[in-house]
Amino acid sequence: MTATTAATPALPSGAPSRPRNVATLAVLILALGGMMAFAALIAAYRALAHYQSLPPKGVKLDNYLGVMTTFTLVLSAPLVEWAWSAVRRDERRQAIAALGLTIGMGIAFVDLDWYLVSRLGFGVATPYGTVFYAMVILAGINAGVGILFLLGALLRVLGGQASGSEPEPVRVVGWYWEFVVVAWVLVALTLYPIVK
Amino acid sequence: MTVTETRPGGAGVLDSSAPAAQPGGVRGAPDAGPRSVGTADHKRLGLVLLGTSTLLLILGIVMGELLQAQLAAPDTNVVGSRYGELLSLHATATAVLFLGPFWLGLATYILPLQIGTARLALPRLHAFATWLYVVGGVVFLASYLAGTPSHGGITLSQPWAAVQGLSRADRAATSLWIGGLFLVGLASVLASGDLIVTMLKLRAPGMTLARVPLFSWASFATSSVVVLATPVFLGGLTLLYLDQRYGGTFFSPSNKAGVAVWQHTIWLFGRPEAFVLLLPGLGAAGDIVSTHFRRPLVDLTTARAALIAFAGLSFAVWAAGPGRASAAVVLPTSTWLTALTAGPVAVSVLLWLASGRGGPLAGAVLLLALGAGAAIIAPAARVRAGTAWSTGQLHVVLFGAPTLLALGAVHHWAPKLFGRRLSTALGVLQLLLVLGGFAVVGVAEYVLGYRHMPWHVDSYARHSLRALHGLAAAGGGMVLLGMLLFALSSLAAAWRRSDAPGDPYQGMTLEWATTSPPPPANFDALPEIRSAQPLADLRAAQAGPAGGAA
Repeated sequence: MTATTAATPALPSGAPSRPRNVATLAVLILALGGMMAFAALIAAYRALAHYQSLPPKGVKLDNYLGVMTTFTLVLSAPLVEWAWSAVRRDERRQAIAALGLTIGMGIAFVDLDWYLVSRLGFGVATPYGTVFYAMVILAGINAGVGILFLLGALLRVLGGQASGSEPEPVRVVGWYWEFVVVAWVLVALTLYPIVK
Repeated sequence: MTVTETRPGGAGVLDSSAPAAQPGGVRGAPDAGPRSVGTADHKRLGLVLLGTSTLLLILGIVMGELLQAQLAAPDTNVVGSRYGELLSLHATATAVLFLGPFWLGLATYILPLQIGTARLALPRLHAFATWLYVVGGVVFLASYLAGTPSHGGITLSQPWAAVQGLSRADRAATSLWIGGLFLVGLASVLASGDLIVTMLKLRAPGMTLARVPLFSWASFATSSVVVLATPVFLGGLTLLYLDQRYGGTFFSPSNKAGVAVWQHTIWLFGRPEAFVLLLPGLGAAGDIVSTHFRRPLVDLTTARAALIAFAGLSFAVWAAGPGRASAAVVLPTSTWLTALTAGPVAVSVLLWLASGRGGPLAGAVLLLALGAGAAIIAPAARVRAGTAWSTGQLHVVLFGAPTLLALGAVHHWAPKLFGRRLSTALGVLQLLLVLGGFAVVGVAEYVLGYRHMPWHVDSYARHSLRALHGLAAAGGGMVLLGMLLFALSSLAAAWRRSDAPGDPYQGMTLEWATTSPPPPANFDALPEIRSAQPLADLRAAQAGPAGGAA
């Protein structure tokens, strides 16, 4: 028995066009995972604060340095938004400038982060020191990864692979960079008792 | 009945005798060998994960048998002072390095096929995660060659012991141990994130979330839990590494916060991790039942809800008393909240039973029933935690049932994985060995626990327990034989030429709409998707006027 179904309803498949926002969603999901790691460290700090006054006696944090480091990173957030906006409007030169500035601010942050660590005046030998270093170093590594992504986005803009019709590479990197900023702000608010 | 597809040379969607991808051609399975190193094909990556995790499982079971040999008699000394080390390796290799990555590998292979896409959303990220897992596994194993990394206990319940007063070799070993676990955890998060995106963004047109098959749903829920829970553990490992490598003191016994933080870290990671080992199996079983009985589950919505509820409850058990977290992952039925997780499992089992019955599923159901029975009996029998009863519960519920479901899933999807069906006779033998082995191990350990035999000890004084230990060793040997048989029959199927038709079961979901094994782009054409059973719809449409005319 043979039945030929020339009219079988079928959809083209094989290699369909890439759906939109795939990488954006991926970055959001992985950033959520990253936030859980930072949340664990912040919770560890809070647990420590439950048993002792933090920062411990004898530890004097440089609030000015902490605030400047935070400002540096926070100021990079609108820059990366500017880059994405410029790419959407096909303003290539603006996008290159904005990404370049964001990378510069990111490098400045990593440098400040490193400087901050080098001037802390205490080591990891206390529970406070352990959790402090863990958070600050993890935030620095996170920013380093973000800078690599930003460089990749800059190269794609320079190579014409990110434009008004294909802005996702810059948006994805922008989202990751916003995650870097938010994670550091939470870390800084935890570690630097500015409000007090 | 022969049915010609719309595109010449395309997959015979409805033709159960459709030829394999390369009839009489090359080996059946997509190559998982050296050429897979640079690949981003989800099928090869899935096979790499499946193969590596199975190897690690066999290693873990061999370690388990050595441990049992140590307990063969009160005065036996087989492994000497390395008992704790082997116990740690056995527990980690079987639970962390096998089951989780095994399900991940199966999801990597099957999920894109089930949702009708040609690839993963982020194939290169997934390839990176796959090899990160392999490297992490090697680093983890290397830690046991470098020294003794297990001073912190089997579940690292005393982290300070893992960092303080160690010899140079043991410090290096512990660093490798932490590093290996970190890499494996990171790999799980990255690959799980990719599976979530694939499920949300790459579904074929018409494949709404409500039409996605149960295994893909279960993989999605598992991946969500992994993405949320594993980073917490990675944060804890970071603190531990600072303590271990740079002289930190966060986890010193004098720091009460450190003890609490570690307990919560293990609790928040370990509880969901332990429970989600079963979750993909519940989804796979739903698909197996509906495929082999050629009808959808009686209530697909309830089945999906049970999977999601199970994933949610696996998190909720964190709230069930961190005061008991020193026992962390090892007491699956110790609180009323953890007992609640039995609800969704029971609902899933009832749905399977209402829809059909099958060998591996019946085996898993038996093991779950055995575990549930033991949990109910335990309070009445006044069995204490920290006895061999807990080990039995671990082996039966958290490991035995998911492993049986995993074997059943591989047998079910073998035509897609290897291009051939696995031998039914050998499958029955594997079922008998693995199910029987786990049951024997479980019963022996339940009785040992009832007789107050403590767990995790390398010797005992009472000769009257000797027979029970021998029984547990025999059960372990049966499991080992069953798993070796499974690995060998899978290897043989992958090596031989593919001969399975595209749709050997008259399946209803999209993975059966392509050849066995699938071509590089998975599908030449897809049927129109109007329900959760697109192939059944297509068959019904074709059996209408055209079928009548024929």
